[in-house]
Amino acid sequence: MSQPSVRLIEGVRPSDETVSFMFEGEKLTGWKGEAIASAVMRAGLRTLRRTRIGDEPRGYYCGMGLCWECAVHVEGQGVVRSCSEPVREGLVISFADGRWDK
Amino acid sequence: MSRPVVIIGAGPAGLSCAWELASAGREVVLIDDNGMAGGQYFRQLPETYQVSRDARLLRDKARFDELAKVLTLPGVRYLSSTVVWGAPGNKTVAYAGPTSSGRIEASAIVIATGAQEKSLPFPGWTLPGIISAGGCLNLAKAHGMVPTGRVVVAGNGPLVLVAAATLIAAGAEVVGVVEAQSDIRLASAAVSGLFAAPGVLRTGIGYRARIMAARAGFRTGWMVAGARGKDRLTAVGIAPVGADGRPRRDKQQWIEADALVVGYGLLPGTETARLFGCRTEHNPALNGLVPWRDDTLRTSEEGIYAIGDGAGIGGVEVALLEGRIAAHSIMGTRAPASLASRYRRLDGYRRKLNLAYRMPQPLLAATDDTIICRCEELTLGRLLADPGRGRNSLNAVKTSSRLGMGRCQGRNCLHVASSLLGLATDDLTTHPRARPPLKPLAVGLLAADKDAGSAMEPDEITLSE
Repeated sequence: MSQPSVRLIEGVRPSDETVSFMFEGEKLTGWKGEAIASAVMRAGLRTLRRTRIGDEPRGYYCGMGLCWECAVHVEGQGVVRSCSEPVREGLVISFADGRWDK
Repeated sequence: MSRPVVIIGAGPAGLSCAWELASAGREVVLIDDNGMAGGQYFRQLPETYQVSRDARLLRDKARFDELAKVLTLPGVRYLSSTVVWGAPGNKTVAYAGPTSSGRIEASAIVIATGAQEKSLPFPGWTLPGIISAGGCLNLAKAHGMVPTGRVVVAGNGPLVLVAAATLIAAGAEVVGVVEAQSDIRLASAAVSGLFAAPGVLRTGIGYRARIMAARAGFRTGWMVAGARGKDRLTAVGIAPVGADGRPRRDKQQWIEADALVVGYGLLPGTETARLFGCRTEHNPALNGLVPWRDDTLRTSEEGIYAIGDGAGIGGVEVALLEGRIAAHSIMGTRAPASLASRYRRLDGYRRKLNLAYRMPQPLLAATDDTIICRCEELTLGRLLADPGRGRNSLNAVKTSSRLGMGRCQGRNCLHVASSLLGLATDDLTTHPRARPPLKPLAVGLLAADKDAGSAMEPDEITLSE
């Protein structure tokens, strides 16, 4: 994993409560109430999905629910926008478009 | 029971309209796609977060808290994370969400769905690390975060200054700010702002002062030409804007960067208005296609109103005033004279500002191998060769190529596709229509539609026999 691509602004204090979840096979930790995209980017991962034709990496882009570039698949729930969907204990998350070849 | 007023969108315009109506005793249903009210301008951190008094975060929390009290008023029903997906006629709104799905017959409908960002496709623009200006502001406001490393901010319009100032205030390392418009055109708008909207202008000057104090290079008349990187952004190419609206690649310079914030302007989001059959028109002073409105902010359709950025870009102050004006129109009461005169002033100023930032030629930075439709992964070269293009119709290109048919439903690409492909930009009969469902929707939510009528197919009887 590389350096986090985002960091907390001074003076913002997230919840002390944390939750664990899986993203593409890695165990990550988020703050209670934090969006999935936020927790994943803090962990140093920039790619939130890979495209189904060109297998290109895509990341957080519009941040307001319009572009769907941050779409991820949550087991048992389906495809959601990770910029607004909060992390919850035990979520199993993978790239939205799956791996057609696997 | 009397029919409620249905307001679509709980941003500044929708909340302000709800206030005026609910405090006069009217029933209001406020439907919002977002999980939290406030729209983009009043985006809030998760409720589980706390913020110290001296936090390096530019936000307007006190005003939002006051405005959001409307959600607790009797007579106001607030449906969050809920999508308006259809307009089945007779001032009826079809909605679907986690708490309920159904139809509401309204006495009036207020469309307050806000703006969307204008895309500028350029080589490399899909790389992780490149985020939109709105995305950058939400990163700060809704997530309490800023990008790490070297950040470049580029675009065209007031949002460039807002994003750069927000990042600098929050302690990000902004190494360059790049505005496409020339300084000369912007200065004339600033002068008119001195008289029309001194408060708004002061904010703008404050933003620019912040950028200068941070010694981030500020350039006008330059634009993004490309981005480099493999799995993440590593460098941003910038170049002077040519007379044809394209970057002058002979003068291109590369800046090493970990993040690029791009904001090439805002467009009114008109798909909900179009879904309801409202007539639209092109108005450059309002930043593009807008629903036609009369002085009462009513659209071409009886009982349907359009307010805020979705009816013409004007920002939070204009949106708040339009919410109140539309409420008075619906109730048949006269808005206070001070409200009307303040609105006239701000409305005049926002039109001047939009025109001042308007480029003489639309900006174009895509090359043949640049992705235009992010969802369907269609490049400019692929689209230029599409057989549908010969019919001079964006809709024909859409149906033959799948342009705009992915998850975003064309919100990222359709508004720039016409100028990129050399198709008619103004002839709406050649453009894709706004059709239900407007946004991707879980089938389970639709299935829960308690008011759905029977949906017999003509051949259903033969099938069951």
